[in-house]
Amino acid sequence: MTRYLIRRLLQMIPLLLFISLLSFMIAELSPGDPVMMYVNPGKKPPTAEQLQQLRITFGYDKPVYVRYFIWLGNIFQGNWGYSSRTHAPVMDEINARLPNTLLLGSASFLLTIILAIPIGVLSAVKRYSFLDYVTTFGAFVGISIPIFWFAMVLIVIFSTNLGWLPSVGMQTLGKNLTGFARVWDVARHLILPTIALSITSVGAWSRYQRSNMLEVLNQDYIRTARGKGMNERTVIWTHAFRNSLIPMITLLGLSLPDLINGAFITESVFGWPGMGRLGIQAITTRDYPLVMAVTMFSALLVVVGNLIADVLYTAVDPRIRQG
Amino acid sequence: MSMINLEQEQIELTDNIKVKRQSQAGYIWFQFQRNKMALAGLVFLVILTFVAIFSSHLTPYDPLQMDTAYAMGTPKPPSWIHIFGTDDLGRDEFSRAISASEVSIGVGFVAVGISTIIGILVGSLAGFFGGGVDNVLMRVADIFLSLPTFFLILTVNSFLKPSIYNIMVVIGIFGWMNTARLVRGEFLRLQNIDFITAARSVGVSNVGMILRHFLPNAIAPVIVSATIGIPSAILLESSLSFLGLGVPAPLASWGNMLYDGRNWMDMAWWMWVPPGVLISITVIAFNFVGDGLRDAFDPTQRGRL
Repeated sequence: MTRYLIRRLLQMIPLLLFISLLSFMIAELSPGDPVMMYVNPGKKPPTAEQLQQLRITFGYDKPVYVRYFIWLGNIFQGNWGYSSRTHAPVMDEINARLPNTLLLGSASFLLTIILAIPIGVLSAVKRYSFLDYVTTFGAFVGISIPIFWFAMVLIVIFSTNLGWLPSVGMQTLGKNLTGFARVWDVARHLILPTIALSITSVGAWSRYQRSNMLEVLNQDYIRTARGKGMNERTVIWTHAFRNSLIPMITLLGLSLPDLINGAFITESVFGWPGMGRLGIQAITTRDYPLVMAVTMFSALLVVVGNLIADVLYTAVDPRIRQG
Repeated sequence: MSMINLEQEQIELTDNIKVKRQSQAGYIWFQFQRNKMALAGLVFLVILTFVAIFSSHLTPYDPLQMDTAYAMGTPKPPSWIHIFGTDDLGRDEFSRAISASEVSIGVGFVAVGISTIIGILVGSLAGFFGGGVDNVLMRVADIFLSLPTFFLILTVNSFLKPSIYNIMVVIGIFGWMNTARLVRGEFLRLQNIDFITAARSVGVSNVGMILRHFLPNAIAPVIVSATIGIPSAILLESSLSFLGLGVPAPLASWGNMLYDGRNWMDMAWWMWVPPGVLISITVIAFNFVGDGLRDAFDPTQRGRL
């Protein structure tokens, strides 16, 4: 197990290097002169000499590959550069936003599990029943509906018309709530974005759980269990259900990119102060140091998530451990 | 899959059992049409494709024509003259929705066309040559799969001049991995089959092997994955446009109609409900068809929903 873990960690290195190269290229290929973002547009334009001076100060006179390694070295020391819009360290911005994204992501993850797994099991057990057709259709709607549009529908129904839930932000502005009141306030703000972000994965996961369950129910040992007169409930929940969950762990890793892609959209519809919204703002304001960092961190989340899924899979299924 | 023989033959067997013999394509169609949701999806898509192709003849108004005197700065609700209402600039929403179908469907098809070509190329090379080539190409696919694609597409798009062609290309470039994996898998499966060995032994060239012997037998999963790729591309385009980074302004796409509608979310439902419903139905239809095709192609899946 330890050796497996070490091998997996080593495999991540080239991947992360490639991703770093890619996000460096993003800034490199971005249109416009990079030193111009340090120039105050209100003042009169700098002379060619001043620009050259700036270039030397910020190291833009060096060749591309040298700058890449300097940048990479800085990252290893925790220096991700400065936002060209707010001039705050990029790391501070990410640190302020990443926990909010993780909160939204985990909430959505939890909701997905709570909804999708029972739906999948039920529609597999009652295969070809009315319930199965309804959930199948529902799952197709879930994976097909655009998240942002579903988000708009939710906002108009539950926020604008019914007035039950807030639609923007993470906390009620102007109220400095503390303790339990604050937790409650954040939770209320969390509900709509979580539902919006989960719709796709609930659809996909319930279908997947259904086919896993069907697969397991066809196995010989289930027939044996039934044959020796075990009641159906025990067969399904004790024997079949637990094994049907193993492949779901793979899905956990596979659906992380979707979750992160969805977070970019969901956060910007609901004004959720997370990394996704930060990233979109960074793109529209052409804040490339921030764009690079958001790219790196989203990729890192996916890579680490995949690693966790693989390790869990190995821990759960002894057949993989040997290989 | 051979398309040679589409007609069904009745063969009389010795013990008088009538067996229907069908061509592969006929059999796939037979399986496909049993799935009524897939069939309904196909009918919808055929109609939609016609609407998209002839959109310029079907719009009652010019989708770009503003009528500020009519709208007077606020969206006007549906009425007999504008059945989907107008936006705040007085543009007819029905005409915009129709002409947007051309953009959305077009982006979907072209983007998936691009990603399918890249996928077939990468997958064929990896599966045919194996070894180091395979290793390198599949690692690249792994890397692409763990990239935050949506964010990268947004970023790259923001560098380029806003144009619908750039969107097609960018979406295509980031979507080839699944096809490549499938094609590779099929190639590896075929490597050990006798007719491939036979073709090799008579000295068919590498290109001939790939084009004549491997690809035609690896095409079924590619068709399925392309069918499922189109709705993803349509969703991607609409997300980009919804964020204001997609199809550029005067041109209508369902996504940027939603972008416009977002500012009038509370008071003008007719600006954002129809395009959202259209995207959803189109994507559902493609997914139904894709699902139906997968089951029809896959003998082990037959009979499953």
